[in-house]
Amino acid sequence: MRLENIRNFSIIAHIDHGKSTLADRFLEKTNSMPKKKVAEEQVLDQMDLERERGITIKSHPVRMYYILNEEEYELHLIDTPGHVDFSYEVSRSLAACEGAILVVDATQGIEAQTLANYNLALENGLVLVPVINKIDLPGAEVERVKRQLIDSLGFLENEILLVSAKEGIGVDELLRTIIERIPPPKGDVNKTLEALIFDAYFDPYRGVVVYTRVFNGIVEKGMKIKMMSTGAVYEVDEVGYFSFGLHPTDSLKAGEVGYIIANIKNVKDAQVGDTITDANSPVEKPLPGFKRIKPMVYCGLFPQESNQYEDLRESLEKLQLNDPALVFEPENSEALGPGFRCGFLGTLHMEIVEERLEREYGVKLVATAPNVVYRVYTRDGNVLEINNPSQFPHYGLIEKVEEPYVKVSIISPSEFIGSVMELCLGKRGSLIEMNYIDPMKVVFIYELPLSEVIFDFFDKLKSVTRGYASLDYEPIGFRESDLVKLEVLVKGEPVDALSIITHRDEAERKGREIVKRLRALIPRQLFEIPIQASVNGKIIARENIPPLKKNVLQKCYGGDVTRKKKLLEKQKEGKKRLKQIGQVEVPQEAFLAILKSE
Amino acid sequence: MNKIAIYIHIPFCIKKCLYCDFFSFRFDISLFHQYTKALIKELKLNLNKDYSVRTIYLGGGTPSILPLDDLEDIIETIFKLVKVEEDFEFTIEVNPGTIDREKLKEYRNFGINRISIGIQSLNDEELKVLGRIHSSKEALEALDMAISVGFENINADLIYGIPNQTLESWRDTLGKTLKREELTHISIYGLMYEPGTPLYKALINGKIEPMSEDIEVEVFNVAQEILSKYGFIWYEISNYAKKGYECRHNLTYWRGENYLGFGPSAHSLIGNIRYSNTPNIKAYVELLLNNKTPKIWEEKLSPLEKAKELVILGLRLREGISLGVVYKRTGINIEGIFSESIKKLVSQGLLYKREDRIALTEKGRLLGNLVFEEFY
Repeated sequence: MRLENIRNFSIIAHIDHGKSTLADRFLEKTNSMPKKKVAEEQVLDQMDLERERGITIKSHPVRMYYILNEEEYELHLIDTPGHVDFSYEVSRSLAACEGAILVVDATQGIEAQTLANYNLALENGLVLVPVINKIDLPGAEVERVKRQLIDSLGFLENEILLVSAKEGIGVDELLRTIIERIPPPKGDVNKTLEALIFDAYFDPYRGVVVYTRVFNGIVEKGMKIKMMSTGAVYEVDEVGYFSFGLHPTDSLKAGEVGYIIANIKNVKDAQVGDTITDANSPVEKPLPGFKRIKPMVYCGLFPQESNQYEDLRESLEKLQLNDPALVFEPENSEALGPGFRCGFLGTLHMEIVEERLEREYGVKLVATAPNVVYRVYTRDGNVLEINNPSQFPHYGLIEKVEEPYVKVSIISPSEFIGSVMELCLGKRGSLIEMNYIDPMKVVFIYELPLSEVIFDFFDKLKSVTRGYASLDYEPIGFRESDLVKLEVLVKGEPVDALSIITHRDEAERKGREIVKRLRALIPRQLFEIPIQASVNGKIIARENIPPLKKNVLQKCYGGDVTRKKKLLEKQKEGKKRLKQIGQVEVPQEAFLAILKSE
Repeated sequence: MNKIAIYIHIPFCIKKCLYCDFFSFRFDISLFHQYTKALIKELKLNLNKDYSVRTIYLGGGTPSILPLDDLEDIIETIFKLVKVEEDFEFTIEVNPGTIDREKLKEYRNFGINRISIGIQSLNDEELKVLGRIHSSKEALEALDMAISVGFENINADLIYGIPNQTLESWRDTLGKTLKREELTHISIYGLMYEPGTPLYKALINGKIEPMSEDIEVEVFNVAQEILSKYGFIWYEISNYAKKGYECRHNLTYWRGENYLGFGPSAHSLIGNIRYSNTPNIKAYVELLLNNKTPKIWEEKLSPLEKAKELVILGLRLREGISLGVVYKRTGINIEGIFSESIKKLVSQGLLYKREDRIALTEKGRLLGNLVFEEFY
C-alpha cells in the first residue's frame, strides 16, 4: 500500500461516550468483521473483564480497508484503554497515530477524560476529528455540546460531525472525513528501522507479540532487531497485521501498524514506548516519549490459605508476563503470614489484578488497603522510598516525608461548585483553576495528594454531584507533607497489616473511625479484646470488644439434629475465613476496614 | 427385642406462636379424623411385637387440641402393636389454653404418665409478645389442674430472652412456677429468632429489641440459682429435673439411641440410618391413605459421622460422653482424631476430661457451640 493511502488513527472518549460501539460500526462498514462475531457487541474488547466492566484494558489494533472515489485505503484503528490508570499506554498508542476521533456524548457533553485525552492527543501532534455521538437519544443536546467543543476546545463549527454509532447515522461520512482530514503517515522505507512499541502481550506458544508502528524503514522475517532501552537483540520470526487475530505478511513498512514476533520471553523486554531499531545499524536516538512505568499504588496480597502461597506466586508471575506494569516482591506479614507486596498503576489496575487472580487462577486473596509510595528523608541523610506502611521508619528517625501529588481535573455541573470545593478542601486539595465550559458546566483543576484520590475520592465526588461529575488526574511529583504512621493494636499487639500513613491532622479522626469499625467487624471471643489506634507511640483511640458470654443451640430434639448440624457447619465455615492474629481471630474484611472513611 | 422410643407428631395449633418455625396447621376439625386414620396406618405399617417401647412422646403442634376419641384410637393402636416396658414413660405436651380437668383425667386413664405444660412466661405482656393463646392465669391453672388430677411427673416449659423481659419478671415467673412442689422437670429455652417467623421480621424491622447478651447471662444465672434452691439439677443444656425425673424420651435423642417418629416431618433413627416424613400434612394423609410410605428422605451416617454426632449430642448432657462408649459403638477413636481440639477446649476452660469421658464445664454450658463446632 502506498503511504498516501494509509491512515493510522485512534478513537478517544470519556467512558461510556460510545467509543466501542463506534469501532463496531467501522468494522461493519468496512466488512472487516468475521461473520460469527457480528452478533456480539464491543467485539474488540476480548477479555471477559473488559466486557463486564465496559472498559478497555488492552490496546486492540485492527486493520480495515475502505474504498473512496475508487481508491482503496488501509485504515489502522487503534482502540486504546479507557482509564486514567493506563494513560501512559494511551499516550503511546496515540503516538502511533496521525489522528484521532474525539467522541463526545450528545447527552453528556465534555467530561474529564474528554479533556485529558484531548490534551494527550495535542501533545502527540495529532489531527483531531470532533464527533458528537448519540444524537438519536431523546436527551441529546447537540447545540450545547457543539458550543462546548467550539468554546472550550477551539474547534470550528463546520469541523464537527454528528453521529449515532448505535443507529449507524453519520458513520460513512465519518470514514470519509478520516481519509480527508487525517494525514497519511510520513516516513521513509529506505531509512534505518525505527518502530514504536505501543503494546504487547504474551502468547504461551509464540512468546511476546509486540504491537508496533513503523516510522522509518522496514521490518521483516530473519532481521536482527534491537530494543533501544535494554539493548536486547532478537531475530524476527514473523511480522503481520491485526484483523481479529494475527495475519502474517512479508514485511511491515514505514507508516504501517502491525505486530512482530521474535522469540521474546517476557513482556518486560518489550516495554511500551520503547523504540525498535535495526541491530546491525541502529539509529542514534530513540523515538521521543519513552518512560519506564512506575507503580503508583501498592497493596499486600496474601493467600487466604497459607498453602496457596506458591499458587499465588505462580499466578502473579503468569500475570506479569502479560502485564509489565504489575510488580511484586515477597512480603512476610506478622499478621497475615507470607504473601506479596504488589505495585499497580492505579486502583483500577489493582482491582483487575485481584479479580483475575481470583477468577482465572483460583487463588483466594486477602488484600490490604492500598497505599502510595512515600519518600522519607531520615535524620542520618538517607532517602527511603516506602511502599509499605509497616516499613515506615520510627518517628524519631524522620527528618521529613514527601508524598506523591496529582493534578486533578474535575468537570461538574455548576450547581455543585460548592460541594466539589468542600470535598477537595477536606482532601487537602488546593485549587489551581476554575473555568466555565458553558454556563452550566465547570472545570476545576486541583492539586491533591494521590493518597487522598485513591481512597474513596471518586465515590464521594459522584455522591456530592449526584453522579454528574467526572474526574481525571496525572502525577506531578512529590511534595512535603506532615505525615504520620497510624498503628492499630489488637489486644496490645500492633498489627502490621492494619497500619496506615496519614496526615497528622487527620490521624485522630481516622484512628477513632478505624477502631470503631474494627469493633463491629471482629467477632467476640472468649476474652476481652482492646482495639487501639496509636500515633508516634501515643494511644489516640480505643474500643473494647467484650468477651463472648453465650453461644449455644437451644432446643435440640430428634428431628432437629440435621438442621442444627447444618447451622454448626455454617458457623464453622465462617470461622475458616478468619485470620489468627496472636490469640485473636480477625475476619478478612477488617484489613479493608481502614480504607473507608465517613 | 428392639428397644425404642416413639414420637407422635400432632401438627395442629389453634394459632401459631410468633416465634415458632415448626410445621403446624391451623385448627381444622375436619382434618383431625383423616389425620388420625393416616397416623394409625403409619403406626400399623411400622410397629410390631419385636419392639419394646421405653417411652412415648406426643408432641406438636398442640397434641391437646386433638379430640379425645382420636387420641384414644392412636394410643390403643400403639399398645396393641408393641410391647411396652413396665416403667415406660408416656408424655403429652399441652397448651394451657386447650385443656380442662376432664381432658387431663382422660389422659391419665389412657396411660399417659407425664405431662409437659407450655407455660413459657407468667407475665401477660410477655405472653402477648410471644403470641401465646393463653393468659398467665390460665397457665397456672393448667399446672394446678395437672397436679390435682394426679400427675406425678410434670414438666413446665419456660422461655427467657423475651423482648422487654426483666430480671424481676423472670424471677416472678420462676418463683410462681416452682412454688408447686409437684413439678418434677423444667425446660428453659432462650428465645430464638428463627428466619421466617413474625418475631424475626419484627426484629429485622427494628420493631422489637432483643435482650442484651449481658442480661441473658444474668437471667440464666438467676434461673440456675433459683432452680437449685428448689432441688432441680441441670442435666442437659436447657433441661433441669429433680433427681430421677430426667426426661427419658429426650435422653434417647441425646444418647443417639433408636427412635421412631410418626406424623408429618417426624424423624426416625435406627442405628446409622436416619429418615424423615414429608412435612406436608395433606401429602402425608394422602400417601398413607393410598398405602404409600410418607418417608421422603433418608441418610446413612458413616461410622465417623455417627461418632461425631454422638459426641455433639452427648456433650449437651451434664454427664457428657464416654469416648470409650463411642469407640465401642462406632469403632471411631475420637480422641485420636480430635486431640488438638480437645486440648484447646480444655485449655480454654470450656471442656473437661476425666479418663475417657468429656463434658462441658460450667463456662462451656453457655458457649456450647464453640465446643460442638470443633467436632465437625
